[in-house]
Amino acid sequence: MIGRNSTLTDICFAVAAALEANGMSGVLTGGSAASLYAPQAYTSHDADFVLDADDPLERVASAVLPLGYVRNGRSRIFMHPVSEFTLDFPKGPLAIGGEYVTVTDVIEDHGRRLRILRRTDCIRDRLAHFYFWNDYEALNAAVAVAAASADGVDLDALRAWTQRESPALLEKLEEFERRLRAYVRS
Amino acid sequence: MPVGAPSFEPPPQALPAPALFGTKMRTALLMLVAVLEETYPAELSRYLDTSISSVQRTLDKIEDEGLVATRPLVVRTVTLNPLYPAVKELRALLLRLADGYPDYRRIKESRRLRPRRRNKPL
Repeated sequence: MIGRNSTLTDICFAVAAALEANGMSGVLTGGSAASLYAPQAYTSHDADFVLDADDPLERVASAVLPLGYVRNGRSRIFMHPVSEFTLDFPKGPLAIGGEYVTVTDVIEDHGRRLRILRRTDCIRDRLAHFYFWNDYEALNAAVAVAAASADGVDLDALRAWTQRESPALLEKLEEFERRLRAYVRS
Repeated sequence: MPVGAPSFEPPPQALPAPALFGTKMRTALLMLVAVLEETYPAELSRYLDTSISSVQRTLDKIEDEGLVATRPLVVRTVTLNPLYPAVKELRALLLRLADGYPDYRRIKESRRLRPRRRNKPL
């Protein structure tokens, strides 16, 4: 059961299990995915799941009701009576900028499973919000996720993707690189 | 007329559109958003000759589908959703459709007008 002290991670695993138990599956994306990759540096207050089959939200509502989540009016957002964390089910298909995402990762914890954007895709997803909405919180999340990666980040791949989105965005990628260098030095 | 004000007066009747995106109203609204690039509900309601509440309801539906994005600035600004995966193709389709109607072409032309400094030689 989800309570006041449940963490975002607990909630994400519980929602993934509830969806699966009801024949649905979704991928954790957005700021919540960044929060799981860089928990020390970034905190999200909602769990964003993109559903594989664009299931009706009425069906989702039935699945998450036993966890205490109730749909907020006709929106795609679900609220909990005591937890500060909300659920959001953005319209699919899963994509970052102009590219669909077809490969995802699975995090396992004590037999629980959670599908999540791959780390590099999580960085791209946060960067896309910075590129198109000037969202500096998303930029900071991208930096935090990149800095938390033990294997480093493939900057060439990020540059190639940015170029495909629009060459005009390369300036913003440079801002990301500057902040990442400063973050790693600090 | 104030300097820089659009010279185009919206026609008294609703703009023409095919019912490609479910209804004529929805398609016309999407075509307008593509043509205007960034707009707001009052402007859309003027061009579409319909109430702002009707525009808001249609916007809510197509925003829910992810086709447009709105931001609550001073007014609710409306753009095609830059994070929609097919936004480039959607914009191209909508502009191509709009090119087929004189009304949209005139709106597009009126948007090209920019404020001009007084007494600046032509």
